[in-house]
Amino acid sequence: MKFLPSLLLSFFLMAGSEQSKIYTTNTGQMRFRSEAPLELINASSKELKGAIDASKKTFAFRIRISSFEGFNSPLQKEHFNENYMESVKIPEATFAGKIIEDLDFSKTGTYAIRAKGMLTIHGVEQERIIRSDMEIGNGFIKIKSSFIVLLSDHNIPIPRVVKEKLANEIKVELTAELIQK
Amino acid sequence: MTTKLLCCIFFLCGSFFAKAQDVDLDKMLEDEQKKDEKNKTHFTEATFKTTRLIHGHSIENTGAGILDLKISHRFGQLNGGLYEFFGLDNASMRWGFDYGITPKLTAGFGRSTYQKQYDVFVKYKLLRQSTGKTNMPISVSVMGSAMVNTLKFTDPTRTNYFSSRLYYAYQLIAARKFSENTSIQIMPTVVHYNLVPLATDPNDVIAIGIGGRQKISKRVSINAEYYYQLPEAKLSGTTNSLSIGFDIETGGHVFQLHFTNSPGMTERTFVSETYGDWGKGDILFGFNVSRVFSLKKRK
Amino acid sequence: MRLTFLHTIFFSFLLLQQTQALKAQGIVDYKKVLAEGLLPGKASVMLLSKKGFFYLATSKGLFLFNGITLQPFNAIDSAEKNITALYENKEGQLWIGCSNGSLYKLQSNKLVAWKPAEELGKKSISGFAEDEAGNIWFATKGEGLYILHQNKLYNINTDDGLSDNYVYDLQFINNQIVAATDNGISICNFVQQKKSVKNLSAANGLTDNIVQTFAPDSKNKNILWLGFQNGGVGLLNFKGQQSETIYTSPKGSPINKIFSGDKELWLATDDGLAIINSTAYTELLTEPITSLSGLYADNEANIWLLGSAALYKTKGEQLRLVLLLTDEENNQVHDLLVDANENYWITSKAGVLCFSKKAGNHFNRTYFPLRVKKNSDIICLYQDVNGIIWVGTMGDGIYLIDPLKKTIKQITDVPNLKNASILSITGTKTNVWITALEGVWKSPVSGSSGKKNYTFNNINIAQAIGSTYIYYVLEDSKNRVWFATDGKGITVLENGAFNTFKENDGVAAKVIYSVLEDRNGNIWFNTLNNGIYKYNGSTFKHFGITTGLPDLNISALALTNKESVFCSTQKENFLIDITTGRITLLGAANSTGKMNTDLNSTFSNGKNVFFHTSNGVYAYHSPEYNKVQNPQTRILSMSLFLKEQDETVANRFAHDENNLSFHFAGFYFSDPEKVNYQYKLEGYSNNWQATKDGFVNFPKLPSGGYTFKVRSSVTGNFEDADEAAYIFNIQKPFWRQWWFILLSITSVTAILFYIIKAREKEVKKMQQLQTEKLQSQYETLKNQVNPHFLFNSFNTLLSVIDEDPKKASDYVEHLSDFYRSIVNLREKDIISLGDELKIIEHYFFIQKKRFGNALHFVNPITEEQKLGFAMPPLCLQLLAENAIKHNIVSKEKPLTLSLSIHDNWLVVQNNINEKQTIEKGEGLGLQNIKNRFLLIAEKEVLIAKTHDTFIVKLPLIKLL
Repeated sequence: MKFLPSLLLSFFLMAGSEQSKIYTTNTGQMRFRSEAPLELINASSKELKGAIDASKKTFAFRIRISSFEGFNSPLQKEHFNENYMESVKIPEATFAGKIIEDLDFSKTGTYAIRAKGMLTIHGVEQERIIRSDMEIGNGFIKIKSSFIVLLSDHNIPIPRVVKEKLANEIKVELTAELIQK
Repeated sequence: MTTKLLCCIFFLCGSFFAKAQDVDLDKMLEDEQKKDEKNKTHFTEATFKTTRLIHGHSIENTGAGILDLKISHRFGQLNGGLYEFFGLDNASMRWGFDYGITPKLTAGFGRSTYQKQYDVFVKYKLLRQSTGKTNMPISVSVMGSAMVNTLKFTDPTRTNYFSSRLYYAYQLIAARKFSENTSIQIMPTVVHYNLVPLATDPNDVIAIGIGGRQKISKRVSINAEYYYQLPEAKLSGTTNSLSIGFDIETGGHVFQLHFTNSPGMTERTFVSETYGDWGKGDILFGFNVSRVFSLKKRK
Repeated sequence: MRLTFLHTIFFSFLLLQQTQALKAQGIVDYKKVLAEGLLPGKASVMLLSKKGFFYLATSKGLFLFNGITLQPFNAIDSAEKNITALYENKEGQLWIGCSNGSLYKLQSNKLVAWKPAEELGKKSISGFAEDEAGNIWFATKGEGLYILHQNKLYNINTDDGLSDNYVYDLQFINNQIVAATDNGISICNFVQQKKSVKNLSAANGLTDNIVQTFAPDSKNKNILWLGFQNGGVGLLNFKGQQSETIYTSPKGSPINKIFSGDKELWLATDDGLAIINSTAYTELLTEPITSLSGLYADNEANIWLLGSAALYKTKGEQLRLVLLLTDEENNQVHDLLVDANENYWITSKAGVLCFSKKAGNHFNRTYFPLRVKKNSDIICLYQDVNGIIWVGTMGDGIYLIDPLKKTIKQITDVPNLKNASILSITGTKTNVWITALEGVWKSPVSGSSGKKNYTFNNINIAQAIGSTYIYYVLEDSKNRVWFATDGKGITVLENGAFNTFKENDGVAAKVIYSVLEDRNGNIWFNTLNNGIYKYNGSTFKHFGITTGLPDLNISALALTNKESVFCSTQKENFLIDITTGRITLLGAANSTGKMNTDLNSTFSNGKNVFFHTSNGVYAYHSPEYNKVQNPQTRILSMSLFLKEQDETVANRFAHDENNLSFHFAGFYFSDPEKVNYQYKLEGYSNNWQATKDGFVNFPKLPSGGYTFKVRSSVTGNFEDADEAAYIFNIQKPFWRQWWFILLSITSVTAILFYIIKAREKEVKKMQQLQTEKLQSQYETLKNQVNPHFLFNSFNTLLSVIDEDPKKASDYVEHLSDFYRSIVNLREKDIISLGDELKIIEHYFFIQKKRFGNALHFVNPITEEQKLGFAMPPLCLQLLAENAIKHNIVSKEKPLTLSLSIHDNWLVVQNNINEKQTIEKGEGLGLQNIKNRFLLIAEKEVLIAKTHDTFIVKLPLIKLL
């Protein structure tokens, strides 16, 4: 059975060529920022989960709302979870869809892409096109993006008393490195 | 022959690999998230809106590094009639600071106009209600406080010791957040008197408190608090404290309004020295407000 | 009325019948407007702006096209992108799409890149549309559609069900957005952020999956014409969503663009232009034009053909050569007629030719020979209510042709018709009117076509008019009969009476060619060298050169399909609007061949006006989309000191912003070279100024309100011209504003008033001072010459002389010094404290002699203080006088007067020992002191009296 090692080798080569085209992460970073006249609120999470299927150009991202930290006070975090995001009822926010651009994932390099998909925050779906910088490397994809989320788009009302403390326009930034499975 | 078979198997494996790629990414992440949730402990947060239920402590602690200035008022009895403007003419007040030393440990002091009291307390969280990896049905805290009455001694004929006007209260607080809107806590309490008014009175008053909150909207909840004193371990002539109130959240602060039969705002005054009777209309109106200051520098 | 005998002669003849095909070339006249040199770069797309001009994009950028030249907008920053789509939304905002996927907007005549937060792709933009909600859609070649909804960009591609991501064109129709893709048609909706897509492809009956272009039908809102890549043309009816293919290009060349006209579809294909009849779907024309990519109609119904290298203009559906004739045929045309079955009849040599339409543009030609003298011309044709064709000849009378039975008969016996030279045959539903050299005949006709016999009534007009030479007769809808005479002007027969209109009625013309009644009942007639008249039942309106006619010799009139009268002249045909009288020139005649000016050679069947030229028979028709007839005037930009201003700039200018200029244009694509302007600046001059330039500058305008008005015309008649206006205001400089003038007057008055008041006060003060001074002098003198004082002084002196003569002379010296001081100083307003003290010292010396030790004077004033202060004179003396006067001065009760200075106050105090009998004194002295200090030192003298002391505080005047 001399050929067995070579067969195994060929299997691995084959398996290599048939390698999964799915890239994932569990530790993507996401931060948001509300710049209201009277208060600046920053919070971030390192629990962004993401997956990109290079064969179909599809992607999905998901984040647990209660994983955001760094508010101005614990009470603010509590309000964020309880009053605005209702994170017990709606524990996660997601963005899933497809990349508009035709991309060759076998070519390493940095690309400006647009991701089209459904952004679901507070249980309200909004179709969005989100611009992103994507770096394709050997076995990994790095993405970096910033975009705006309007609270009014996601049925998150701002009570009159905090109008000066909470912006309707929330700036969101995310960075993630997805590793090939 | 075997090689051919192996080849077949390998190719099948290969094609299986190819098949396996055809997945819904969002579903995949969702499953993964669920799996993660199981491996993680999620501590229940915001069982109550603030660190006080009405008079007494709730299970909540002041955040680490946060200084909380609390100002509470209790007006006179409503049955004072128009002459007393339904109690609003007379008011007693307590102000004090709570400080979160660690997320689990809170300490504070206060001063009440009622009997010119000073009080200090320490509250420590023993257990946190959680789901996920560790499943804990309740949260438990212990609270100890000391109070001193600084009124002038009424009976100068007697030898008055400072220690005779010291009081201590010990509480175990067990709470559970049943749902987003409903939380209930039980507070077994011992109030220790160094000196009691009557020789027949016990030096340790034992009471069991029960309290809860029910949210009626995102920003408003109804709270209730009741302390049952064991009949064999209570001061004579006292009644049980019963309070009903609202927590109203006004953008970062909680404003508490309530009706109670206890004029005092320290453990020994409301647990063991309540004389009012709801049935007779000895009801007082009161409110608590607080303002938080962040002492710890934000990163 | 008398009976006429009718001889009928039947001809047996051989009808010469043959089929003739019209040559395709020449049916559409097109003219190269922008040739290779004039069109910079490669042309890509055009758009008719709501403002009236064309946007034209080439590889060199975006241009404004006014019909003659291109004016560039600012160039797009990169050479790599070409403009591939243009769109003007409901608000008139121009969107520009480029081949690299970028988008621009035209703002204040500048191309500004439009960059949404989502960013744009790199695929070429192929079209725009706007839905009912005002969302802008744009199509890309590769990324599907994008929707701009509330500042957010949404995408529709194959993932959302779009038939293909490669989209050629977009159209909003039937409340939906329709996209033409590489894979059929996608009908899209976007309501409340929900997308829905429905696809139609070959499976649903489309000829081809690749739909390259489409165009909405010009009339039916539910129909969309589709142009396929395989050369087919189809239509999609949204009512029932049926599609059918109506045409396939013989060469199979892809359809690049469709224009849907009134009756025709114009197709731009790779092989050139093709025109098909949109109801019969037959091909009318194919014309090879290299790389024809666009078809655009302007509001004058010209159709523009855009090739990549050149731009062509055609009259579109307006003017068409419907019958191409040979030279031989052309020479014999004196009249033409289009019968009820749309067969063309023309006069020919010794006969009449009938062309009847076969399929496409082929005709059957039938010759009806008439037995006429060799040189007789066939003059006129008329179809009566029964369908019988009446033929009038020069010298051989009248022939009747039955076009169905193909029979010919000659009418020989018309009373009084000797020469049988017919000039015209006209008629109504009841009568046929014939004019000949000898006069006019009327022949009643009725609706029964089987009628064999005709009667002719000779109208005796020679008596009434004085001439029998009648060119034309019109029996109008009010039963009036109008006679167009040769030499006697226009005559009407109304209620049995003839009336010839004379010059004083408003008709100067003598030779009238024909008469016409329009749909509003106005009577029009054309004349020899006298233009046209319109009679509205009461007055005549004359149209001549001044009203804009290009020629005064009008050969014929005809009613068009719209509210205008078609007038033909040798130079140029034109239209007159029935109501406004506006003249629209139809373009120089040379493009359509030499105009036939025979009086009868123009004919209208209500739908078309037919006229004859050296090329053949043309049909004129005004399509539905012919919206304007005259130049559309627009102010393109306004400049301040020759610097172009933003459109949004308010039209209020400061007084020194007074150099304004305007760029304007009159857009008239039919004949842009002819456009002339008149402008005026109301508020500056009320006279219209003529210009040919589209620019005017007004330097140094004085302040005021202005209205700049400009209008344009091609005929030279500006009466009904389209006008554009710009209202602006140059403000007065602030020093000429009413508020400034008012403020100035008020402040000057106030200042003057204040000065006068101050002066008055000063004078009053001076006067008072004067009086006080006089009074003081008087008082002092009075006191000093007081006999008691003198008496006492002399008594003292007497006693001193006895005691010590040396002392006595001292005393007298003091007394004289005292009086000298008083005399010297009393005139002055103020004196130094030292001088004043000298007086008092003299005084006390004198008094001391009298009172001895009973009188004490304490004076601690230093030399410095004596020089440093001043005060009114003689005050201290008065006070001392008073003290002595009112108090006991004795050894037991001595009087002490002491002086001291505290903070600029001179304090004078004495002890009180009041006399029982007060010496006479009016207290005037003290009051006098008070007044003088008030006037000079402007401070009150303070007087205090305790039980034992009398204190007077005098405010000293500090020197230096």
